[in-house]
Amino acid sequence: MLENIWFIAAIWMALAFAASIISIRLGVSVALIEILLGVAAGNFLGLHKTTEWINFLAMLGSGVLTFLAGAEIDPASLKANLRVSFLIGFLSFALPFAGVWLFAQFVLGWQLHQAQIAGIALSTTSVAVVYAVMIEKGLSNTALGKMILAACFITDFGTVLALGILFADFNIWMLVFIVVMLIVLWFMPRWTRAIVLRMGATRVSEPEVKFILFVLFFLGGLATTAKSEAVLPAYLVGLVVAGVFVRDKTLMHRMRSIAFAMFTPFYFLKAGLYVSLPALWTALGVIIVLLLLKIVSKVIGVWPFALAAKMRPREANYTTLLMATGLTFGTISALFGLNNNIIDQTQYTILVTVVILSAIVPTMIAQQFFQPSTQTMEAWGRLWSRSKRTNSRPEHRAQTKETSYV
Amino acid sequence: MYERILVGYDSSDGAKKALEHAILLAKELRSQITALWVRGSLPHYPETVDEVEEERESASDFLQKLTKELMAFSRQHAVNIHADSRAGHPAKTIVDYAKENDFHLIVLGHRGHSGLWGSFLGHTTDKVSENAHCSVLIVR
Repeated sequence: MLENIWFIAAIWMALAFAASIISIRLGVSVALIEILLGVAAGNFLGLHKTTEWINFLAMLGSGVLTFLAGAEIDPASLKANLRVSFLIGFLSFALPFAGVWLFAQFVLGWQLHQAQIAGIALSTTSVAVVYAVMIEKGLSNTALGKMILAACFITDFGTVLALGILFADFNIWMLVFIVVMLIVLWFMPRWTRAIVLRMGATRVSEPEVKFILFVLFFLGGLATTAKSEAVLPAYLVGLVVAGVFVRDKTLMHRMRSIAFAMFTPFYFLKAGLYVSLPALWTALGVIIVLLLLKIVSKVIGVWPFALAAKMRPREANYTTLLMATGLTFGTISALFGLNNNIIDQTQYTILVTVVILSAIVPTMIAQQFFQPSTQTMEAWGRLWSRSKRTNSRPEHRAQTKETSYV
Repeated sequence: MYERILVGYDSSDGAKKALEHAILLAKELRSQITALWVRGSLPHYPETVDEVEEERESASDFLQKLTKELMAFSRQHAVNIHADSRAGHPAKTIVDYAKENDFHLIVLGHRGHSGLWGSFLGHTTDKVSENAHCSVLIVR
């Protein structure tokens, strides 16, 4: 009976359904519950293997999810504080990436590529988790809130880029992939806008959704042929069409509905399925050390620069802790390592557990001890703008010294 | 006595009955009524920003619907009903809100939306009646 494709699909969908119900009741995202149910199914219900079609749906899940993550950025917010967002976002990626990589390789004794996967998985942050933390207190629309979200986006971009480049083969297919991707990225906003304008609003055959999926699948095909990772073009396509999505929320909703109903449950359940509880128990010490290392390396990278960018210690602490979150790209990176036999199940268990903990622990500390007010988050924008203006006028550089929030 | 009455309101049949009882009491005792809707928290640790946004929009739509219903109640019974909403755990939020705003009576419907779940984990009414600082009226 359990070889029957319908029954297998029914079991997976039953788990996805249960995850939705629990998620609604607990107010926790369905993704996290799906991972946890996947862990339970793998460790207690004997659901150990996936089929080709489950792997395919899970792969689509990670691709579409990455696309949606790329499309979530508000281009205006990114441009508004590009310099500070870029620097904070870059440091928030680079320091944990290097720190965790070196620690895994030289202290834990992992091989080079395994250590690199660890570095990538723990360098991430999560735009969505950070957004959810800030929106409850109305902080996401403040100047500092927007800057933090843009910085998270830059960090994730670094993660996706590292995942797409570090394990790739630099051959003719890589060249073809890069050239085709650049052409598609250039034309994508106008193609998408044209299709949405002409057909998107009224057609039940959903041509705009199919168009986006076509582009994602095609570029994903080219990326994997070049031994790169399909999430790289997915994120970049999301980024270039973000402006269209800001104006047309319907397309975003449709993409998300399709992904959350049919693709991402398979991805997250599968991500949980390979977490081994005995391995988790044995590696508890390593998990705690890696979580601390992720947070500490984020502190070393982000905190001093946050102070230099005119934040008070409270806002700098808050910013640093939010940059230390992670979820989507952490699990994607770890699963990429496992699927490609770069890391083993124990290493996968360690990384996914640290990633899940990093979604919870830094946000709880930030909310509990360093929650700023909307006024100070907004005031930072004025202070930073004034400081930029002052610095751009040489005659005032020596005279003006801003020291307080107004 | 019972100068300030708080009604837990979520548009369910139980909540409507509770509000009608509260209105009867308020007319008799010249009390002020506040109807409080406790919405669930926005999803924690989400995968996409859109997930949070859609929850917010749907909560905002539901709040508009509740406000219209309360205005209709208000007109029909010629009483003022102050409407408010908070996010959080229903029972805890109602208990805290009642205490913070010095209410003298909390009125709740016997069954809200949490029928099946409540059977397993205990109903909001049970928790409010156990923890509230003031009297609690549960309307059947």
